[in-house]
Amino acid sequence: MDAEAGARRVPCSEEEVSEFFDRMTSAQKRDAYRFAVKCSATCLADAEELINEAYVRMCDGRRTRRTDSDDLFSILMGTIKSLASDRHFITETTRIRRMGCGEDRGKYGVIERDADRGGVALDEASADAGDVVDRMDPDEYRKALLADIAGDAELELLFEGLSVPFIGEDLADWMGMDTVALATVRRRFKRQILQLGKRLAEAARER
Amino acid sequence: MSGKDREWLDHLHEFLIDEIVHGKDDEPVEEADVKAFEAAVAAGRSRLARRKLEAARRAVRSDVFASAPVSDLEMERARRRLTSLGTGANDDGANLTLAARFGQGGNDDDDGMLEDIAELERDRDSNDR
Repeated sequence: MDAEAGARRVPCSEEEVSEFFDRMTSAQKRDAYRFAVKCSATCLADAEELINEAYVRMCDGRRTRRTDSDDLFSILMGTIKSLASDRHFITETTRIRRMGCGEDRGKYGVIERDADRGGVALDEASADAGDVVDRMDPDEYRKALLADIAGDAELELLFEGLSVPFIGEDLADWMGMDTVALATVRRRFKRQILQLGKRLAEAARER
Repeated sequence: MSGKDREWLDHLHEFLIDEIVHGKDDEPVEEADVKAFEAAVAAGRSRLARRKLEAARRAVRSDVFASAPVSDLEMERARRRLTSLGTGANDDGANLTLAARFGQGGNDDDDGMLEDIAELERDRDSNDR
């Protein structure tokens, strides 16, 4: 068994998390934000809410890291991803926004104003009952992604391979490319997905 | 949509994380993205601080109201102490005098005063130990 499998995991501490966020590079901040924006296209939370909640969860020890690594960047990204796929993570802001949407208008009752935050506290039971019915369906997202890369044979092939999922050498074999050529296609695909995520999130905000 | 149906989305997110964390990309950084990220983290820090403050408040409240109820024995001791203070006999509990003499004018809440005295005695006993 390799060292990776043997490494223990420990909860992140508030001190190390705070320190990590302080020393993040601009490129890391940009990437984390764009990833959160992409994730927000298929979930009910905004990018800001995903990052905000990820920070809190990492600080209060709900996320773990390997004992042999102090790089928390991948932990941050993984936390954002988990939150985006968590059906039960619906932020207060989102609930408020949903109060005025389509058929659900008036479905969730405002019961009091939250003096501390200037926000509105909701009847949680009725808000939860609505669950996540109006999130963008992943199937719709898939269609949008396929339309976006239509005609680009390399990206189409890469998406197909990733969905299997092929990784590492298997992916290179699938693509019939060496690792250098594959790295270029991967980078292009990443940029295109993040751009599409941005456009979809903007469109969702305007709805 | 079932979990199986959305596995491809998980794979896509895994790919993005891997590419972002390990891939090399010299695309210029847009300041607006950096600022938006920093604003979100600032909101997280502020939320965390509020939660800690609230937890500290709850801890103080539970500490203040956590004293054990006064027992019958302690009430009886308090009653004796009050009597002795009233007659001025052998007042070895001078630090209780003020609390006790509030009752001399005929306080309606005698039991409340006795409980206060009993708690003061209990505190003094535990400090002496």
